[in-house]
Amino acid sequence: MNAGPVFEVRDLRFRYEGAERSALDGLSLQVDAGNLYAVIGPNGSGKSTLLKLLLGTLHPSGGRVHYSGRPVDEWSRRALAQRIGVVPQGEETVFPITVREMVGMGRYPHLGLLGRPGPEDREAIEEALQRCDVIEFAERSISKLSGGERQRVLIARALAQRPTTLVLDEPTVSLDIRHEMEIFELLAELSDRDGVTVVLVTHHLNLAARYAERLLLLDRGVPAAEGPPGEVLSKETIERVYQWSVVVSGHPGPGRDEGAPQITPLAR
Amino acid sequence: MARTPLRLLLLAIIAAAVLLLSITVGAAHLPLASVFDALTGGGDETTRTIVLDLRLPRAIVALLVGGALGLAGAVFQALLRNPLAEPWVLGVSGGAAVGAVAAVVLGWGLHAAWSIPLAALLGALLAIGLVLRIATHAARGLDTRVLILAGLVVAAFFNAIIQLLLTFASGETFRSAVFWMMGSLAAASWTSVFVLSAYLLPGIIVLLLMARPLNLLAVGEETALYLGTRVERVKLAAYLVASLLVAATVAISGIIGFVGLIVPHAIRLMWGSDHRLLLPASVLLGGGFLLAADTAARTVAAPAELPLGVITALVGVPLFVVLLTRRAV
Amino acid sequence: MRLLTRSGLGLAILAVACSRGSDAPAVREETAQPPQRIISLIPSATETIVALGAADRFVARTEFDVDPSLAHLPSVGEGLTPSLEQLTVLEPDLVVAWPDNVSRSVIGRLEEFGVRVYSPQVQSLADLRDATLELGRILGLEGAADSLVNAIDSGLGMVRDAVAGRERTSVFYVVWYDPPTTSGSGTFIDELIELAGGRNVFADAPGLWPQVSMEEVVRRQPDIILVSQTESIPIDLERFEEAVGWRELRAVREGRVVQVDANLYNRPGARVAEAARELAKLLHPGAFTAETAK
Repeated sequence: MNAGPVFEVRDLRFRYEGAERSALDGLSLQVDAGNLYAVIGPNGSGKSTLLKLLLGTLHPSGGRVHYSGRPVDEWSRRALAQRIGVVPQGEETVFPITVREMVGMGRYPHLGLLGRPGPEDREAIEEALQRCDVIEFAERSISKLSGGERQRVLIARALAQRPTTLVLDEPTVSLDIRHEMEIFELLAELSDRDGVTVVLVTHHLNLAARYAERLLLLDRGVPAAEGPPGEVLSKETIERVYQWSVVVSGHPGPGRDEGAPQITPLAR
Repeated sequence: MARTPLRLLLLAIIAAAVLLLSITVGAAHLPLASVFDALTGGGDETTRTIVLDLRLPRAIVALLVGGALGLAGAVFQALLRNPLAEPWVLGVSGGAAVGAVAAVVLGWGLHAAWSIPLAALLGALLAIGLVLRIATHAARGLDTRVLILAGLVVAAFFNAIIQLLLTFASGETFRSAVFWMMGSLAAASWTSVFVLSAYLLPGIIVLLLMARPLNLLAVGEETALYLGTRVERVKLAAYLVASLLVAATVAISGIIGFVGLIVPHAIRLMWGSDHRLLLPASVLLGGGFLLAADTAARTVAAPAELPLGVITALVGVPLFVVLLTRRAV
Repeated sequence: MRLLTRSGLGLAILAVACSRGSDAPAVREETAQPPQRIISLIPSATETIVALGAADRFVARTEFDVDPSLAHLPSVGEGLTPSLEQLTVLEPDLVVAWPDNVSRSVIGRLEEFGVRVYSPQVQSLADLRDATLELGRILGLEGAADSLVNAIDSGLGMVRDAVAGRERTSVFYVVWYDPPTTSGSGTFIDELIELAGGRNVFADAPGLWPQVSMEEVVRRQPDIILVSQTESIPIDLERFEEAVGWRELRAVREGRVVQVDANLYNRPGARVAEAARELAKLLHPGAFTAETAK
């Protein structure tokens, strides 16, 4: 395993074709192995664009993106898929498919064209179903699930890949309190106990503050702040970027959360 | 999936049964005993000719053509992410028809037995090339929405050319051209079996191997990418191979609709959308269905032969409606 | 790349099969016996064979063969899409088939089974002569063929003489009325009209069976209108008197609309001299007195 950073980005610039301004302009960051790294920022600040650049589905206009020491472009899609599990934001499935089949797709990168699923694959699938709490509807069709249930299935699929890196784009959008907490707890467990590197885009500032080791706050394509939550989530910074008055307090704890900055927006 | 081999076996048995049936019936009413005699090399020459040189190769061609059409239909539906996709939606059949109709009306290669299939194949290749060119020119990579539009437009254009060609046709060539377009396996022979097999079997195998990538594409292109699929390559390969399969079938047997649309749907309604089952099942069911349709086409109104494309629609649609209403997903 | 080589391979195989097709066993030129079991899918060829005196050699007929001497024979349908099986079971040694590609690819298979297939062109009078002589050769009835051709020629000659020097009557041949469809130049009908002292009013239209606009028909005011009829689709002549456009035609108003038998006029057959004479009488009634109307 590479001892260096998992993701390394230098002077990243990206502009969509025909757009007036760059989506990302001069961004540098580093995600170390086993960290939980959260990307936050207002709508349109470039968070999803950044993920796509990290994963190689978009190509930078300038600067470079390295995964595990090599430029992302040099990795084959299969090699990336064996290491990085991705949970995209919202997915439209046209054909009816069962939960188990969907999660089973997470094993495809390891199977190749003709490989048959073996005991390790079945184990990975079972484990993923359990950990995301979707095992009870494993045989049900995806189209019959609620938005939140479907979201958990997508996360299970990424877990089934047994990835060393997990990249998630707003994974808890449709989830209730319990399931949202369960996902964040799961991510923390994967990162702390299993050494999985987690990069996640989220709107949920307070949960990001409690669970992430480092944060990147984007403001219109440019990094407004980067570092541990305590440094990034200051009242001045939040109010400048989000254009809204807030109060920042410390989390009461107990445990790891104690002192984590919690943002409360004020009414007019 | 544990049930896959059993289900495929079931379809194979059905296809074999239809094969047996098709050899024993026909416009010439041959007694069952003499048919079996002929199969083992005995019996009189005329019966042997009918069973071994007419019915048997025709049945095999029907299995091949039906299998290819069913498979191509399933692949197009996955590729275009549209359950209404049919092999001729992408202009392939239109191109083939232009080639064939031109050959018939203008009298090309009147004395070469393969002039029509060759002309049809060239026309189909032209259509495939045109659609690809338009689709890749208009959008980066192979955007499926652009592909559909390009296909429709090219198909419409070729249709117009066919109408134009037909205005210059004499009575008989007109009827012949129209008859060709409605689909027929009447010219099937052992030569066509060998040529078709050489052409279709590799393509069928290639597409069957694409089951997993197609499963992923069906979920979404971005997801497929993240799960290790080289999406653009898979789309292009699937489109080209499926189109070439369709081109070959149209060249040999005219335009046969509904098989490519209905067969994959029927499988989906019964057994789901996993392409590892759907694709081989579409081959088997497509073959069996077309063979049954062709057997009906040449016996129901004997001595006349009904157009095959008409039978597949007339029989296929009600069958499909029954399936749909009983098993709405 | 693999796809290109596969298509290339496929085309190569087709090319080989193509060449195999054309050096399939050449039809035996002189067999010991001329064919004795004939199936003719082309009605005009059937007529010719009957006229050559070989009607007893037929083993089947088509739905279009209305000759009473053939009525007892089994029918193979309409003749354009016959069942190979049924043809095989009748064990013919000669099949006369349409010369278009589709028929050739189907009927041509009979050659593999030792059946002789003859596909004459049947578009013009010249075709008729060639086909008649060729059939004579194939059937071993050269003498009868020569006589038949001579009879046709002299019959046509008489018609030509009868109408010689007369001003040509302009003819509008109606294949279908809505939209108006006629025969262009290059069809047999056109040839027949010329021969019978007429002038096809739409000889300049492109294609063999052009659809023409009613306006144009009215502008050209043909002297006489021939309406092609088959038993299956009878056309009531009275409709022309009331129909828009048609009633502007002098020929309609003055009652010069005549029904003609499509089977006789559409294709050159043994009865072509009769067709020519009938047509000439319509176009030039004065030319046929009691002496010439033999």
